[in-house]
Amino acid sequence: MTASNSTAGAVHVENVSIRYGAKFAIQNVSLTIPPQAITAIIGPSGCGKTSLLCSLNRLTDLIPGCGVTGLIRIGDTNVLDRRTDVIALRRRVGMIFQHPNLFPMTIRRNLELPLREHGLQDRRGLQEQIECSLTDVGLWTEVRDRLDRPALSLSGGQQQRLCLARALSLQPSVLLLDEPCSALDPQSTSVIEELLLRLRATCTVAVVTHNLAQARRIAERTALLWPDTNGSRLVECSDTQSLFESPQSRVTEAFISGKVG
Amino acid sequence: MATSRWTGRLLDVCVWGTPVIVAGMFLWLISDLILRGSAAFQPGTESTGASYSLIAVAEQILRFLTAAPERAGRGGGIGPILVSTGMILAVCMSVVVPIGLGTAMFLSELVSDQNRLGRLVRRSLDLLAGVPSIVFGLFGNAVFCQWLGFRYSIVAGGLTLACMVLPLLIRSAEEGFRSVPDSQRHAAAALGFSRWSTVFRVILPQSTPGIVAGLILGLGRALAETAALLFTSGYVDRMPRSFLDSGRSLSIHIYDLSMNVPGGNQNAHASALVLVVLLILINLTAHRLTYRFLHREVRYA
Ligand SMILES: Nc1ncnc2c1ncn2[C@@H]1O[C@H](COP(=O)(O)OP(=O)(O)O)[C@@H](O)[C@H]1O
Ligand SMILES: [Mg+2]
Repeated sequence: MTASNSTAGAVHVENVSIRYGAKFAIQNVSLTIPPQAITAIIGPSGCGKTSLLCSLNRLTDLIPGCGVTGLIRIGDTNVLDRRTDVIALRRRVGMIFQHPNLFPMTIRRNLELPLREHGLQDRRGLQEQIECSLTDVGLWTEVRDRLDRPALSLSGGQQQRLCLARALSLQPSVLLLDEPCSALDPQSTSVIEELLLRLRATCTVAVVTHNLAQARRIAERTALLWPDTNGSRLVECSDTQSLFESPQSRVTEAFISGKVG
Repeated sequence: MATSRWTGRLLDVCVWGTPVIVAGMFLWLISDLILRGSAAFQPGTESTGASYSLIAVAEQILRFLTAAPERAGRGGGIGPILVSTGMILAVCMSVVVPIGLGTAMFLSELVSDQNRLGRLVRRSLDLLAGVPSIVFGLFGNAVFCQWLGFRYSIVAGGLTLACMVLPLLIRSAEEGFRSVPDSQRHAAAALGFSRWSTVFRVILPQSTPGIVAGLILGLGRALAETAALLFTSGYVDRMPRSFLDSGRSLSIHIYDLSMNVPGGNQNAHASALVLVVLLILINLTAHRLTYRFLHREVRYA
């Protein structure tokens, strides 16, 4: 298992609004993503789940015209502060995207590149870390003989797991996953779910999912975002069981029963 | 029904016919050059008892490629001219590659599409790309030969060519950079790559096809250029002694032989043949390199 930083911080989101140009994607969202637990973020498509996730590691900086206001704290880092070292932040906050986005290079190089970027240079150390993170995601036995084959020759499920291995090799304390299983077959999905359940011991995990059953299976807490007139708002955020069994809001009730969304 | 069948036929003929015409033009040009140019390589035109063995022809070709021109180019070879051409291209490329890649990176990775400076640079490049080469020649003469005091020299010629080729390289390198999807930039950023590491380790390796295409275009244009060099690198057909010496490029040699030297036609054709072969070689190596590079880094499935 990856030895993640033991100081897996909670993620506090206070009054966060995200806009693209003049159009708000989310408005005044506040929630806490506790450490050593899995928090699911659900909601209809286009309600700003991806945007919320991207604000947590300031990936929103890369999108022209995107503005984030409010307060985001991860551990004791003030994320939205200009002076925050984003590179250090992103190293601690790993992210998995909806579509696997491996570099079009060999499997080995995909894993080496980020490690080298963060200062690990010696061959032995690299090799050990590569083996360790591939073992973490259950990919080592599958790819040990083809580390120098192109990463894009892997199947979709393997590619997504390699993305996960790549993120985990940096030993993040927070892991953000944006619909990581939406393009995967049931088997790869269950491999990833099991992995997330194991990671929970050391990481703060936030996972956006379209799949309500998945949220129920793996998440301790669930947050529901819902579109409103000017940007989505947080409708409900509580522990998964009570959200699904005794929803506080009619919107939640309708959404989880499949009547809307 | 009959009409549509005939339209189909017609389209068939066109679709098969046009590539044949294109290929035919190329073959015609090449065979014309070979027929007329190779006369210069025929051994023993001056000596009696000519033997047309392969070795003798090869010797003759080698002699043509290395010997100095004689009688204003009517006889002899093109040795000094090849050297001058190489030196001009070297000056040109060593300026164009760093500046071109830097500017392309700036346009595609550092500034947004709306950025004022970026737009100004792009607009200027489009304008520059359309300027006739004779104008570059005048400009190069004024700036490099006179103002900077390089006189008629290989440096002045190379720098003038650089100004001409730069827009081509920047445009295709920029296209190369832009062809890399944003998901790659996001992947790198999310892994904590700095902006420069993203550019050098992730974007650049994936944009080599565009960059190489730009280099081929640029080299080709530089190699073929006459007008811009007439007033900058000069006319002298002896072996250049340094980069500050004047030197005659291959294209100028061809121009001079066919326009100004009566009886220079045969060597003009031979030189043109060399020029075309050089262009083909550059093309092939570039493709080879891209292919090799792609299969090292970007092996899709
Ligand atoms: N790069 C962007 N530029 C402009 N608008 C965007 C951009 N990305 C997302 N949006 C808008 O923000 C809203 C939320 O999008 P997103 O966060 O992707 O939602 P979700 O992940 O829940 O489907 C959508 O209305 C979308 O149109
Ligand atoms: Mg999304």
